Amino acid sequence: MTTDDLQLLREFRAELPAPDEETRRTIYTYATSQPKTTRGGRRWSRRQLVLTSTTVGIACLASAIIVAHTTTRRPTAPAISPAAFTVANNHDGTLAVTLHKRSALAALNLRLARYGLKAKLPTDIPARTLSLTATCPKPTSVTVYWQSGTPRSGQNQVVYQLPSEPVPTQQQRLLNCVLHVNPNA
Amino acid sequence: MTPESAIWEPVGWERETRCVRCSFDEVFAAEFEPLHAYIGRRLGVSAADDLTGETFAIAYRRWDALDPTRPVKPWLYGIASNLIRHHWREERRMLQAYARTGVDPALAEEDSSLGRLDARAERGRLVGALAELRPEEREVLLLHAWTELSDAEIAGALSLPLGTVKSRLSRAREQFRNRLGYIGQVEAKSLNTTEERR
Repeated sequence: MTTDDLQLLREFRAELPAPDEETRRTIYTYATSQPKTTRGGRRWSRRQLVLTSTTVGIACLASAIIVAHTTTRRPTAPAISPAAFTVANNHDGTLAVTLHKRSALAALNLRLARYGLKAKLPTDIPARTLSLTATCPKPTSVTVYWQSGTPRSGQNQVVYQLPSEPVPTQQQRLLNCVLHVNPNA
Repeated sequence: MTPESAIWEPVGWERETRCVRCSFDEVFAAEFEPLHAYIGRRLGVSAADDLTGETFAIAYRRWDALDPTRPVKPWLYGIASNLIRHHWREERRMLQAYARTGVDPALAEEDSSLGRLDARAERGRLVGALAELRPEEREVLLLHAWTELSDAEIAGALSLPLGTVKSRLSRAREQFRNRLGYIGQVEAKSLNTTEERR
């Protein structure tokens, strides 16, 4: 059955009688009465047109989304965004911790751990972009206790006060570490 | 009919020749009958007159823009295929009618005396199997069987990747053969049942 099917098809086509001479002449006359086009270049098929226009459309849409996103977010933003958080060593042996993006909390916790501080900043800090500043003595280990969380309206600063009671040294806890949160910063 | 300007290049193992730098008249002379038969077998004789005329009219209009080094035949069948594609419903209806009644519509509309009942079960099976194919697969199969175009030329004619043409052709032939065999088995079974009743 490998070639039989093609053979059957060929025989099927051959059954049709050839067109007569008059039909041939009529068709030739009709065809050659058409005006010739002198258009240069290649003609695109419908498939190529659809593919090309779809690709161009998607590219334009993606560019528009990217441009709109970057311009509406921060019109005067520099090309390189500032660091999500900074940790600076002060002369008095304390650390100044500034958090600019809430999403960088996990990374900041990691960095504090590298300093030997076991500070764990909570992830339920109020949403929105905020600036969190901590000025703490530099102990070998620290546990941060939060007393309150949500800033009230009108307040531009909320102070989180750690317990002021003496903490046994063997527990290596931090004393008087104050964290400042500026919700509108 | 072969002037000095024309180049007939050997194609394939059968040393078939294809016109490459031919005039419109030469191409018309060489391809009119095969093209008419191809369209006629797919859509009927009267549609073949119209669509063959339209195919050559389009070819004539674009003749000067055609790349002279490009073989004309695939290009011509590409034009015809685009025109036939608009009539795939008529094609399927025609094939189904032929399979159902045994009357060849392509011949019946040409001359009623030729519209005889085709007693050969083979034709009915063949046409029924063709009608069951998807239009795009039927198109590739018939171009392959009836026009002697190579797979690459069919790909060029239909503006398809070569792999797509090969897979469609393979699928179409497999389904066509299966369908032929299935209908044959059903007919043989019903014939045996009838004979047993007698």
